[in-house]
Amino acid sequence: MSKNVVSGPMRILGYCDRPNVRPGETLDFYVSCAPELGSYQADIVKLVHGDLDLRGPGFKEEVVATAVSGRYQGREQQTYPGSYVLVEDNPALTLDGSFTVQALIWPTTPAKGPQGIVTKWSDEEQAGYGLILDEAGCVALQLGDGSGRVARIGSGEPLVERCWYLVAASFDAGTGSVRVYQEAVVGAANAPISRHDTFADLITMVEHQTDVAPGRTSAPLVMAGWASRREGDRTIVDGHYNGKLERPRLTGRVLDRNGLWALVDDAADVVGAWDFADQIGPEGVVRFSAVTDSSGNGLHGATVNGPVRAMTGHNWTGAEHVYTHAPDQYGAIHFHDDDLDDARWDVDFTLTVPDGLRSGVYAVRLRAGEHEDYVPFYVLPPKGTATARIAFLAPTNSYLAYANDHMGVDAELIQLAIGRSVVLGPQDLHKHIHRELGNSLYDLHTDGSGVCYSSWQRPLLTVRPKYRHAFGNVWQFNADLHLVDWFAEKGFEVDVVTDRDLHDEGVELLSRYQAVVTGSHPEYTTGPMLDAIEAYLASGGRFMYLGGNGFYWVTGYNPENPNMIEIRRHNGTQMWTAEPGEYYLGFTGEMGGLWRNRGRAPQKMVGVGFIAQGQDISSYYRRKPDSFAPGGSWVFEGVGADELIGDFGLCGDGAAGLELDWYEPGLGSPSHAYLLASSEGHTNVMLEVRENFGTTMPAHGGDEQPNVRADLVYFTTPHDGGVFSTGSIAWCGALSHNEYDNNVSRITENVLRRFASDEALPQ
Amino acid sequence: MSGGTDKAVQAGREVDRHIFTQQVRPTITPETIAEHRANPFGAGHSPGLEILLRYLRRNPVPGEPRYVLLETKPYQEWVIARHPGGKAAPLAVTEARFTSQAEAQHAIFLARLRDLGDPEVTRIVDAAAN
Repeated sequence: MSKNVVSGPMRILGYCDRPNVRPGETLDFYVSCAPELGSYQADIVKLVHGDLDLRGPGFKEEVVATAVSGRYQGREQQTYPGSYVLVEDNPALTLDGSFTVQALIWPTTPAKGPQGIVTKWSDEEQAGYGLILDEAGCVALQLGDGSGRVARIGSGEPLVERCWYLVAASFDAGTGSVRVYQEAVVGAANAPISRHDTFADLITMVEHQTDVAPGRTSAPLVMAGWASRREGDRTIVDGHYNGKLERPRLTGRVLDRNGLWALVDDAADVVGAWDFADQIGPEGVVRFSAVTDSSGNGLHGATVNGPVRAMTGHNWTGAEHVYTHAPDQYGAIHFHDDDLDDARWDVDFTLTVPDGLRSGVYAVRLRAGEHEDYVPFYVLPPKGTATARIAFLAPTNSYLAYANDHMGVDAELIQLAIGRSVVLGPQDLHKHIHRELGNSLYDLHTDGSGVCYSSWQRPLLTVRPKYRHAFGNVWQFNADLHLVDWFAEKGFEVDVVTDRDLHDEGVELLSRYQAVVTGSHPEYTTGPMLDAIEAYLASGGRFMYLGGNGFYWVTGYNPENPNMIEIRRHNGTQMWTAEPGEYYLGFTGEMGGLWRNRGRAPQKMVGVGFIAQGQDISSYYRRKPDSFAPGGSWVFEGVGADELIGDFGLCGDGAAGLELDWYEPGLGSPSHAYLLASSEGHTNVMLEVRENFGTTMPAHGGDEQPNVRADLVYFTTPHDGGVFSTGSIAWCGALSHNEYDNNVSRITENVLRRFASDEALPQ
Repeated sequence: MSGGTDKAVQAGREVDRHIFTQQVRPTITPETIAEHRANPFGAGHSPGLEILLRYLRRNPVPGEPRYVLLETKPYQEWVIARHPGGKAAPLAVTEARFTSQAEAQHAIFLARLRDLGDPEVTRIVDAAAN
């Protein structure tokens, strides 16, 4: 007996448009509430502990009175995913005579149903024209005269997925003749397609008569979709196309094959010609959302929902991998029907952060009957000041990277990596069904390509107190509340700053603090963030890295959106792999991938770096000789010589687990560092990372491979600075064990009290 | 997707049949099942149980859905659901409620063994379950 779960269980959801706000500043909140719930209550709460595990301290929050606290009338707000280019209506786009519309395309789901390529089409009026993919996966011209007559003329030859094509359709106004054209363009490197396959270089052309002429419509020109309807001042787009699109052109005459190819490289005498590479400058894509028309008609447009730019085009030869060096070969944009850069809801209320509100982790708590959601945000200290000796550096980039991840339901083999079947909670079920809320950087788009952008402007159901990841442990945002709670229990006054603040303000931000403490998994780092931490350490800063797999992926911010990040996955331990030639970030022009592969292994900065991951069970550390040396023993004051460190905890029953870092001089771990303790007893699910070995070889599991361990490390830096690293994501999950009286808590407290003091650090 | 995909998938299935016969089938015993019931997660598994778990966790039977747990009360109650695959695909929820996640994970282990469709394996599982 079984029944279907047909819809997600969350009836109220919200978001705010950035994670960080200062006293006196405002923060907008957006709420969608199911109509049957009527009204909802909004309250501001300070979040303290969010892990509901029955073995731990349980949920802790404190309500804060503010002007926005109160009841609000609920309303449902819609989210429309799918990226496209929109060019506003313009008289030049109304084609009363003959015309040709053409583009180069690399379709990734040609069989999914009708998709717009270049359209000036109104679904409501059934009027206009459009070069589309039809229901059979063939190129087609669609014409509608607005009086109910529609013609759709297809090539009859289905396109092959991930093959480049020159596609075109012409309409001869004098004869009513329609010509539809498609030509496979298989280069040596431009696709995962053999030049010897039977369809390579296949040219198809069909000609038909029609008595339907394109009727006038005020709908905009849309690329990678078509205009469905208007909602207020917004165009709602349907018919989303998956795949790459390059060099679309619109001409006021009928073209033959030579005429089509002539316009690919030299778009003269055209109605509209859009070259997406025009925005590529020496430091990346200059205006990420801008699409420019070179025809002289001023038909400039904009991308919506963040399609991927700096993508290889039909003419990519495989010789050049840096798109800023060869913009001409990177003229494609890759569109996805599930892209989302902003949910674009209407604002429900605006919080003005009260002056004097203590820096910390806060949320709006939304409640309607038994339904609930939390929208977290960070209150920073007033600009240019510190209000504590210690800063917690909230790894908001890493929260964004994992935001709304679907690994538990989409990754078919994930139970191998976590040593059990996934465990889904309400948020997991909701985001499984409600795909319109967008993806994480761990997901694949509907066409199988990796997701490389993530933004804060949407409900982020994994960035929630009470949420436990489908892998079976709290993770990222909620895991870091273990640490926030411990600060409070131990009486540490702490300011909170975010990744974005560090990126913007650099070392000046950190230098206000005697000690800076990370979260459990600060994995996604920009170059300016690394520079700031290194400069802090070189000038006497004291840094506690209480996590695992930190400072790993090269991350960039969208110059047009400070809360949208990009990565390109390659040559690391990764859920997907970027296509050849697409390893460089569109936002910044720099090489993506691992910082290690750019000469900046985390070992050089924090003494340890990623060695293994495995999400089944965690283990403990054993003390090493350096923990008894004069310069290292202070860390273990109050801890017995033979005690196992952290053979307990809320994250897999141990302090060493989930993802581990090791001390490795070969990658730059400082030679003077104290190697205080190492973990042992890991399973064969805890596997050495793939970037760590060259050729294939057995014995990569923690049950056989001695490299697979978390190392606890302390070292000093110039001017009385220091670093303490735990090398394990699970560390902070052990802090609350036995009413916070345990050796993980003791060690962390010994170090933080010393780091935050004016006392010199032991050498 | 190239038209060669079906051939590649079939070749893989035939190799997997060989792996099952040679490596996996001998591990399916009452003792292995009892060992999993006592310790469904983590360290200390016998080599045979490890081989069997890794085989079952890679969804070896074409067309069979994956198993997931739904948590119906935080940290207290779970049900098993079958996931047919695909984004937003409805999950088929089964009725039995478990108050121990270990018991639920073991129930999935038994269900995967039954899904192999081998009468002799099913007989071993039924005997062990009773």
